[in-house]
Amino acid sequence: MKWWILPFIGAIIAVLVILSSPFSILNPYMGIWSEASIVTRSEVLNLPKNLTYDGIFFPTLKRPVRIEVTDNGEGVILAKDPYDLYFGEGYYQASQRLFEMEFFGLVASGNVSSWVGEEGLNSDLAMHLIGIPYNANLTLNCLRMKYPVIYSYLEAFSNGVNAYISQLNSRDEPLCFRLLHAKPYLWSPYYTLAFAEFMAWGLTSGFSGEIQSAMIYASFNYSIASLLNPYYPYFTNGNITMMPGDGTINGYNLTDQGVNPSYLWSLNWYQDWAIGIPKSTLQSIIPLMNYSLNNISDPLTNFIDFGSNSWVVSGNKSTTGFPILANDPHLTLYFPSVWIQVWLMGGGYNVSGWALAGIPGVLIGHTNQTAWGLTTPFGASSDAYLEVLKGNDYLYEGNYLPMKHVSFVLLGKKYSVYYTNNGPLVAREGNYGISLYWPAQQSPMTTVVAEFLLDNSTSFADLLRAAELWNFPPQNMALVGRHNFGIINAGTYPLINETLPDGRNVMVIGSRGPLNGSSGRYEPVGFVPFKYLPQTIDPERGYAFAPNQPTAWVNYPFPLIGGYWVSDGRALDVYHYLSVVQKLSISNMMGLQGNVTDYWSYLLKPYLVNSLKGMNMSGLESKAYSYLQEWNSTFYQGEVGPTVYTYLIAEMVNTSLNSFLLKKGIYFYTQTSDSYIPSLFLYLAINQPNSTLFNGNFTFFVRENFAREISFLSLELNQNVSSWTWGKVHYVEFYSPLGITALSLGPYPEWGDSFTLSAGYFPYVLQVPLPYVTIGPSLRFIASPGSDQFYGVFPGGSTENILSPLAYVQLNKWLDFEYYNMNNVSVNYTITLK
Amino acid sequence: MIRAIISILASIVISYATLILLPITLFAVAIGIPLFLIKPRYSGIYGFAIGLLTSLSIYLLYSPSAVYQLSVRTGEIIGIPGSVLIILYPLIYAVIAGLSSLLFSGIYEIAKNIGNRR
Repeated sequence: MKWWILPFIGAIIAVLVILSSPFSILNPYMGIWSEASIVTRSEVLNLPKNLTYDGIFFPTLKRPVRIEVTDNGEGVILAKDPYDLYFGEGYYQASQRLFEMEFFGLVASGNVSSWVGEEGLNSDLAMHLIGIPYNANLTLNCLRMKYPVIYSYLEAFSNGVNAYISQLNSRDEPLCFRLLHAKPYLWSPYYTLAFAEFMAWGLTSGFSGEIQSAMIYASFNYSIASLLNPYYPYFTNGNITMMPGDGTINGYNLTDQGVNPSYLWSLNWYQDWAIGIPKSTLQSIIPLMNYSLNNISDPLTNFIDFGSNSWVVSGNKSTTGFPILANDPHLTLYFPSVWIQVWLMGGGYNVSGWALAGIPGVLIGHTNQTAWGLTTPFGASSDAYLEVLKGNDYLYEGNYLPMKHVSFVLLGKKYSVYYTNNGPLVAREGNYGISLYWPAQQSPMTTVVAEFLLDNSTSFADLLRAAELWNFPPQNMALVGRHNFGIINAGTYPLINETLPDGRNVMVIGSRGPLNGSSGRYEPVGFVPFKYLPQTIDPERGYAFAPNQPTAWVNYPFPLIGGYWVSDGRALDVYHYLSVVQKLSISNMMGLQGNVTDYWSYLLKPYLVNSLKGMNMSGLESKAYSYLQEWNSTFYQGEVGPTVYTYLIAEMVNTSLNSFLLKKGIYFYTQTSDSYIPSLFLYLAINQPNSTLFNGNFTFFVRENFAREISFLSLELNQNVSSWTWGKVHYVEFYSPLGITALSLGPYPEWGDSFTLSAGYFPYVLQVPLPYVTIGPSLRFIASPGSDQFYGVFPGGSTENILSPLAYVQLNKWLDFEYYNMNNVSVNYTITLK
Repeated sequence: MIRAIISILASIVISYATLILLPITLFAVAIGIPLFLIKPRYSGIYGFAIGLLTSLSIYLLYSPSAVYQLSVRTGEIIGIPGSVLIILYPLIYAVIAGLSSLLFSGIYEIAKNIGNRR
């Protein structure tokens, strides 16, 4: 060999080493492939069941903790002491979902850019604008001082998480850490609380609804605003509201205050007298309102709650002889699920259900004596305020006052959030700004305490005591004990003292637009007292339900002016079923959760079919028409009717609402899933068939859009109408929180639509397939504590390792509407902590 | 012959040690050190083969289907076909090992020639 070749070889090696450095994550032993070894251990080598990982010692534990991971991906934690129990839960959650919980912990703390760089910057800014990190610290300090026992549980949970991290070698780090070149950070109660605040904000109504509502009013007029966004959804009445009746609560109502409900609800609540802002000003701040919506929406993750279902029935109405509860909260369908199923036993606790990964305890679940579920009520619990600004000062009662500010650094750059008396300024343009009032910015989130009370409840009275402490976000808490049942809209609702045009004063919840922040007149004056929160406990009719419909009817003493409800389609389904069926079994409840009849399509279809009758049709149109005519409004995968109906509505939306809303930059109205659109079409078809929205003639409008639809579908699908099945256009996808398709599950064909109880949400967009469903029943739960029957299923499993069957062990059952008996557990493997 | 076998065995041990303990390809250079005793025309091939086979053999620790699934998903993220992703690190590792073997045996041969001339 010639000597001069050697330096060349050396140089080539050096170049190769440098160029290959990014591929270090592909090292077969140290790199990402070790993710596959976790599967090998428990699944592929078929190690015996009850495999025990023993001998993990932690000096802070008082006594050994046993963690059993079941075949259906549930973690059963057994301990003798509450500290050890929550330590075990922390250890278990970290062992299964470390990346997920740390990712959301960082998102909520407004610091995810430290992991993902510039891509996370807007998300971080949104979190700081809303105030999540500060609110978390506020709650943290309060719990430490006022609830030291609860705080010690949070610490125990954190210690459990950190115990797992401390014995984790880099090979066992979840895949996403290595893809992001990130390292696990030590957990603390702060991250738990930041994530809790983050979730609470995602489920808080008011601010966005008020801004959107004002944008519609400012762009058009009162009659269009009322048509598109009525105070109460179309076809609502006092039978449908969560609290049945006229709105009277504990003997108190509007009429008692000398206010006539008919008068109050006939008023234009968009006017100057109600919000303190003239229409001309609203028109001039439309861009500002748009900025405010954009600035507080997290572009990285999405926890918007479109809906949820819950209902409870009495023992007299149940075949078990005891009350039954059904709940399916609709949240973003992430992979892994935001939920992790646990059963906590010992130290005075025996509670089973679902925890949010990163938060100790069980948020939705049951004890031996009680069960509870949650849905979102869409009454305003946050408000928007319009501020007049001059430099760094804001106008208040005629004087300019300096804004306080908080500074923080992200990616080496300093940012500041400015505060008026109402809250953080979330958007600014010229001399105007919009601030966000959210009571969680001033008060600690005692919901965390309420959760531990729920977990430790032994009676219905205990559940009600927990509801009293539940403040953010307001939730319809569906509760059952052995003999009692009910729903209470627990939470903090700010009240605004309004002076009506007739001079009377009334305290209302929310508004129809941003309120004048420069005047003290529109400031919150208090909160709805607990005894007057909408509630129905042991109602005589033997059932109660809360699938996001209005919580109280028109005579409620604190009118929900800022009530931005869903369409009531699901509420009407539940109401008709529960009011007709005399005795309900557990399987009836399961059937109702899986119901795929769209109430609006059931009512609207005859009007559509009548309009099409007698139309001169092509062969394809004629076939599609006959499918529509024979269809019974169910949304099963194999049916053609749902496809024909849905695309007809989508065409109608495109040629009516979109044609004038989009011109004014109002995109959100037709992008919403459980919108008022079908009920609005139905209302107009019945009452105003000559509406300008239908170009003056409903029949011709339907015919034109039907022809357009068939032409569209024949191009996008094929010429064979019988193959236009719902399963070909409607899919669900479980996507990764990082937004990486390769780490997502699906898409899978899915039943239901945006208005069926078995919800599969999508907006009416003309595309094939329809936008994938990414929000839906994040778990399904049926409980009858009196008869010791508990069933549940969720679209996930224990681990976040996508290669492990345990990651999505419950998915197929969820897709097929099957349930697990929560009393029967079969242990897959056990971990003992000493 | 015995010297060659010993150096190959040592090289294999070093290869596994670096794969298991150190995540980066730089340490594949160490594989070539024991192979200096082998003639340059063979040492490169031995180094390459040892680097490739030892690193590929690590995959036997895992379930093939899990490795395949992971390669497809990760490949989609990185933008490289899954099969290439599996072979990529072993290939780079093996090329470096082969070149380093060539380098060390070349250095040894030249040093030996210089010694002989003196």
